[in-house]
Amino acid sequence: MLAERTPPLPYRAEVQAARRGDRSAFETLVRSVQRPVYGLCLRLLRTEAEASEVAQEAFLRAYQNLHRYDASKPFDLWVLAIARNLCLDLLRRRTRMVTENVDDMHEALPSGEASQEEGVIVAEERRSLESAMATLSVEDREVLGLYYVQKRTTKEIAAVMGVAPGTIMARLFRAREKLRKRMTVQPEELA
Amino acid sequence: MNCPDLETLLFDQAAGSGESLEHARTCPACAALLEEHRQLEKDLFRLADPLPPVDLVARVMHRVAAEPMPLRAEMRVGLPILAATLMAAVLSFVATRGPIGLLGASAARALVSWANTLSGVGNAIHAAWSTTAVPLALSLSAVLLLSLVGLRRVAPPRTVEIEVIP
Repeated sequence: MLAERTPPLPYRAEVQAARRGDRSAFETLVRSVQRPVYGLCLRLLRTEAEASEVAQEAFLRAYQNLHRYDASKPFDLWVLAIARNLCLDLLRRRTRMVTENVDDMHEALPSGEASQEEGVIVAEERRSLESAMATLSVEDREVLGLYYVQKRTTKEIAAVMGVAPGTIMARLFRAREKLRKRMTVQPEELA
Repeated sequence: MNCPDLETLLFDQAAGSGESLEHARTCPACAALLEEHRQLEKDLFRLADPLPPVDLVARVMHRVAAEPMPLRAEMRVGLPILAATLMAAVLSFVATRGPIGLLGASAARALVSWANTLSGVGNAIHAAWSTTAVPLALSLSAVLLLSLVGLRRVAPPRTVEIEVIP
């Protein structure tokens, strides 16, 4: 398990410059946190176009509300929380039944580590892991994605999700158990 | 001993110690479950976020460029505080013409003075009305009428849009 650590607040200077109207500083911020923000959006929404659109909107909202940002808290978590709320709003607005194409998810959520160096078997295992994750609920995908994929601490996850830190581990265990059960199901049953 | 519930088992596994782990050492089912979770965690930690679209930053900055400059938080908080402080300083100076400790006494004096002034103005109006009621009413009406005429000349004429239906 990850040890709890104090957030280092690495973006303080850029945030201050952006607040003074320096757009290039804001661009630096966007570059720095775009991957986790987009990654979370994609994990929750499961379509690349929507994830890109919501990530853009999250950054725009962050820019518009820079004066409200509490500089004592990590900037990336603040943007992640904005993105998460936008994703949940969009998911609530969806009128159609959620019948995501799991095959698209395989392409949309590749493992970031050097897949070329890995054997086909390992790559296939990861694909099946992503497939199984894709069948979980939004809440389960979110907590697993933030903890294991983004390597966030339980405190950070609690800050993004707006819940008590003490509840995160229990959520994580439940989500992991569901995932374990899904992993034991044959791929044909998942599809 | 009965098998512990899964949450207890996983909490103890995360903590690295606990009664349930002692149990798992002698229980093949619990040991297998823990091993599956350990392996699953290992696999999960290997996953990483996908790369965002290459034009994501450009798209964001294009939208940001259309936005007004963000108002600084210090400005939002600082300006009202500065204005209130200045106003308080000016008022205390005007009212006391000296140390701020005399503000209460000066305020009381000003209140009495304004009350006297208001009373005097009331008496003057009453005296004027009782002696020259008709000329005063006519003068006030004339002033009101002239003001209305002046306002009408100053105000721009109203334009009425008429939709022409062919």
